[in-house]
Amino acid sequence: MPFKRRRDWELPESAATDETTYLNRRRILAGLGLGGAILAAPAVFRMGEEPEPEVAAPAEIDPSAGLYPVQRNPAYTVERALTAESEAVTYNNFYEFGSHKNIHRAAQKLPLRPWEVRIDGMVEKPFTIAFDDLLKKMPLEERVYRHRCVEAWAMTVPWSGFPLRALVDLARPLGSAKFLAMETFENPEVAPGQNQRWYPWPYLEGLAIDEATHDLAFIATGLYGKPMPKQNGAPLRLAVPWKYGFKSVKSLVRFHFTEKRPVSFWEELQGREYGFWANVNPKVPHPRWSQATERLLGTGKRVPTRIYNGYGEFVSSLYTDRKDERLFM
Amino acid sequence: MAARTRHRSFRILAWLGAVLTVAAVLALLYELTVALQAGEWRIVPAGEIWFTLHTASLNLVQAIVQRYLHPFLWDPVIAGFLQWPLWASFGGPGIALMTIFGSRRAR
Repeated sequence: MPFKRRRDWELPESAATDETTYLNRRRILAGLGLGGAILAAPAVFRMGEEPEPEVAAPAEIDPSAGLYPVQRNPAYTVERALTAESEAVTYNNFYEFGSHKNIHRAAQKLPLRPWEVRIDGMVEKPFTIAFDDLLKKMPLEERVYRHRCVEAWAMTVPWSGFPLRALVDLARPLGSAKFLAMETFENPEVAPGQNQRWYPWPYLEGLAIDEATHDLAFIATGLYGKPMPKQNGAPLRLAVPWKYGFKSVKSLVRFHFTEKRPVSFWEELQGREYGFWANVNPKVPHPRWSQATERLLGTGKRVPTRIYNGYGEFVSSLYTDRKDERLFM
Repeated sequence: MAARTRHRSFRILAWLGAVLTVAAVLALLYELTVALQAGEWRIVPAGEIWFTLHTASLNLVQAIVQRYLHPFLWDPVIAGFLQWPLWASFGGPGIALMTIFGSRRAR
């Protein structure tokens, strides 16, 4: 009889703090008279910061909130336990808002409506579509994916969204299109990092067409059964779980089909450390740290990293004819 | 003894001023080169020069400052400084240090 023993780092979904409790914790502390003491100490170091907004926008004010939760696709799940929601929405990288780990505060300035997406380049007919109109055309589902950051931390989260292939079908690319480039918004007024204009903004990432149309390539529009939090890349972002996290470009405004391989943002900055393909491989270290293991957010535990982040049986065939490329950097 | 120590401090500050001034002149030359190549003059921010010379260290310093010191220290303090042209950022303090402490050393 098959017997599955739960490992000690595997948290059941019920262990996750619910959103309301998380958002209200400061108010509760204040009500107990503890808030002043707790909040006063860091205040010394918080000069110049905006008042802290809500960590995640309340679901009811997002026009797409009524669409979630969506049905989970059982074909896309993993053995690993879900990361606690409170961890996944507060430990983020979003370079437009800085390199620090207070992104969940800084990103709240990002306006999400109106939000339009441009589809152009080598397509039959370029067009622009409002995000909410795009959602109506796409088959929404939930998928549980592992996410492996190049910084050697990892999480397991339920993304809501649609297969990237559905968007490619909508775009109707020409046969000569070989790559899909994806761009983040550009608005230095809300994203202070973009005031450092020596960086090649907007953030750009790319996939080969066969990667973009692979079953696993996903456009995420929600997280934990709710619209995507701003700090996680609202209103729509890429999720390619076999690659390092920086490939999963956030807050998308443009999909550009091209015959030439695009130079991605981090590749242009430090191509030796962050290449175009960026497939997860524990045996290929980052120049400054090992990729052999990963820290699971919220648990403090380290576990071995797997080739293609555990998705090798599904994606390794994409690369059989690309052996000459730097596939793991 | 105190006079000797003061004299040494002045000399160090004057040298620091000289180094900053040389860096400012080099930055100005860089800006001229960029202008000649582009066919038009534009002010090159210090951050752009750092980015051009060594992107990795710029990125690393930002991460260290924002993660382990305080985000505010990077933006707006250091990021604001990096928006200025390098020749102005270095040249002003450099000339001031040389003028003030160079002449005192001479006395």
